[in-house]
Amino acid sequence: MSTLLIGTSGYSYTEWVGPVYPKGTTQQAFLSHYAQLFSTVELNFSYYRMPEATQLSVMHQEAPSVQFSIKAHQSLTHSIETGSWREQVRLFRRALEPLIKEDVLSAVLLQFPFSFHYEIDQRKYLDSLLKTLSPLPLAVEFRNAQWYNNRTLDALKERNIALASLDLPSVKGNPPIMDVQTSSIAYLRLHGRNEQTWWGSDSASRYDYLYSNKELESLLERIRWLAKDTQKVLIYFNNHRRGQAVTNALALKALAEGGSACNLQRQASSIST
Amino acid sequence: MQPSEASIIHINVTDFAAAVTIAKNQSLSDSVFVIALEASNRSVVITPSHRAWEEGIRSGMPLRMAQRLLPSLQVLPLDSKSIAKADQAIATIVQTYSPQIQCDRNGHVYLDMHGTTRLFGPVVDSAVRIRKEIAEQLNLEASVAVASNKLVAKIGTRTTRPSGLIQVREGEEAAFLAQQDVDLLSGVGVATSRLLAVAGITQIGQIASLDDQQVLAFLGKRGLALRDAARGLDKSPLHTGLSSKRVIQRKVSFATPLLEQELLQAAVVTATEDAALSMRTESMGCSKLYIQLSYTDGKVSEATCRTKDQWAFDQELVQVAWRAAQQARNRRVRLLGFVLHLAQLSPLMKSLDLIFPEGAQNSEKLQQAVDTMRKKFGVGILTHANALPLGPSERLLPALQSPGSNFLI
Repeated sequence: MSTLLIGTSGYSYTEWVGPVYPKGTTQQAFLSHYAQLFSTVELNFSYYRMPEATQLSVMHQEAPSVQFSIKAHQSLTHSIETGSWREQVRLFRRALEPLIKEDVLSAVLLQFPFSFHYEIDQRKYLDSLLKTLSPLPLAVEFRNAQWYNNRTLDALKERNIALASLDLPSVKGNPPIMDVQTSSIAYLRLHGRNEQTWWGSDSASRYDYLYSNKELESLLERIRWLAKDTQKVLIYFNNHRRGQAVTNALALKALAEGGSACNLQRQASSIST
Repeated sequence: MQPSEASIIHINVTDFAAAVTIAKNQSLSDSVFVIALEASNRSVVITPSHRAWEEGIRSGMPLRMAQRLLPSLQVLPLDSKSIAKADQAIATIVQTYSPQIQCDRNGHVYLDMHGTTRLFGPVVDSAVRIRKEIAEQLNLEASVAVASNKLVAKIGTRTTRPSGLIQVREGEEAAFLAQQDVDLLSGVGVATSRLLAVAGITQIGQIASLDDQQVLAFLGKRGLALRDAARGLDKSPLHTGLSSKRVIQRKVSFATPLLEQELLQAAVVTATEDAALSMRTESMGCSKLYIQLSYTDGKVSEATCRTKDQWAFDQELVQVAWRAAQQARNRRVRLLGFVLHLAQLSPLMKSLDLIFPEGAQNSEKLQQAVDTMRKKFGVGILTHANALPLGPSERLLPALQSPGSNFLI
């Protein structure tokens, strides 16, 4: 029986004060409020700033019931330096120790940009990186379509590493939507389907989208399939603008528990307007 | 950027015969078994179960070889009735999503979802719902792909088998195909794959990057089609309707009514070879052959032959066709002509080489060599000896070169 964990990509958005967090909530209290809503979160700050063990330890203390997925630092995925990436891995790994020790690390997400091509040097690097991070639970997200091939799938299966499934607008330049079970965990990132603002706008507009009930029902089918032969499915909504990720995540939770997304979305719609 | 929505869905129930067997009897789900016609001396594996596949057993492998590899291998008979029912049930499910469907049998279905977004939402969501309905109602797992054409959708389901999901956006076909193994491309069988590997070509994108001259020099004329496929180009329409109801037909009218056995045989052989070539070109085989003879007195007689297996090669089809013609010919009256149908079409059970014929069995090698010659020089260039009483093959060529047309002898 697979466990479904539903949450959002990030939790520290000041614009969520009001729609999601009670008015007057300070930034320090965001996580404990978040923990009342969800049992998992995907940490994104770690991409911009190398995390530290004390920092993650405090986060766990603030939200002991929450399972953490954490996005790898950009020095491991976007701005890789041949001479120093191993040291960056060491720093990153060391930061994760408190989460590993408390058994609340669900996955490490390695998100590679479009410029990370399916070429020999990149493949070698990826192989080395995965070996170095092993045996942490890993999920890999590729933004370049070249990686979505049978060789990549076979390689991920051999290494028990999840291929992050995506839901994102159907516009040119985006990678394909692909759900294939390659490890004992499945990882689904829901970026919204805002085709108008995906390219050429700021990141806030890009993720300005509210999934409809019908779309959530379809997503739940994808999730149920991913859950079939996996132990855990991690689902994160990244359509964070105006708290819509929270609205959708709560609705999906209700739907997964056998309820109706419709009522919950209606109740929650006020928080995203 | 403009949104682009690919609208072809391919549903692929991997190892269909085995999947249907397991759906009927769940206790077999972890068993190492194959579906084969055990009675035949030259029996081949029709479908391995997933567990057998993991052990290296493949469709088209001689049964004896499979049993040598895995002495504990269970051999189960082909349950044609259940397979046909399952195909029909899948067709019934998908028909509620689109009127434009191509059912190729053996768990392969294409849908054109163009114009259905307002009704059902994004095409990828429909694909997910169809997969769910097939799983819930039939206990069958399917891989589903959404793409702009059949070729790319099919490679999509082959990439994500046995039950994944993929959506390849319109305009990104070549990028998606570029890094895939060449043997995922229809028309690349064992021999072509080996030859390409010798030249260092292991990925589809390497074929796609060849220019016309390089293709002609390296792969010959047929190579151009393979190169276009590698670029994700495919304009073939959906053959709507159930493939079980589709037929490949040849109609022969004799210029002078005839009575001679040899002349009839020659015509039957020629028509069968021509129809079979069309069938194989579509990567299909058949399990039913029908013939109807027309007499000068206005009467007709007919005969049908069926197999639980699949006929694909001339060697077997020509024998079956002549047997059917002999059965049908129960009167001593001059013949005006005949109609031949290859029916109950289904996808070929193994991938034939489009260009370089080589296979495990001699008959397969021979057939592929013959097809290559015919595709290059015309269908009349090579024929069975008993087709020769018809006279110079040149007389037949213009009519035979347009499949599906009637031709006069």
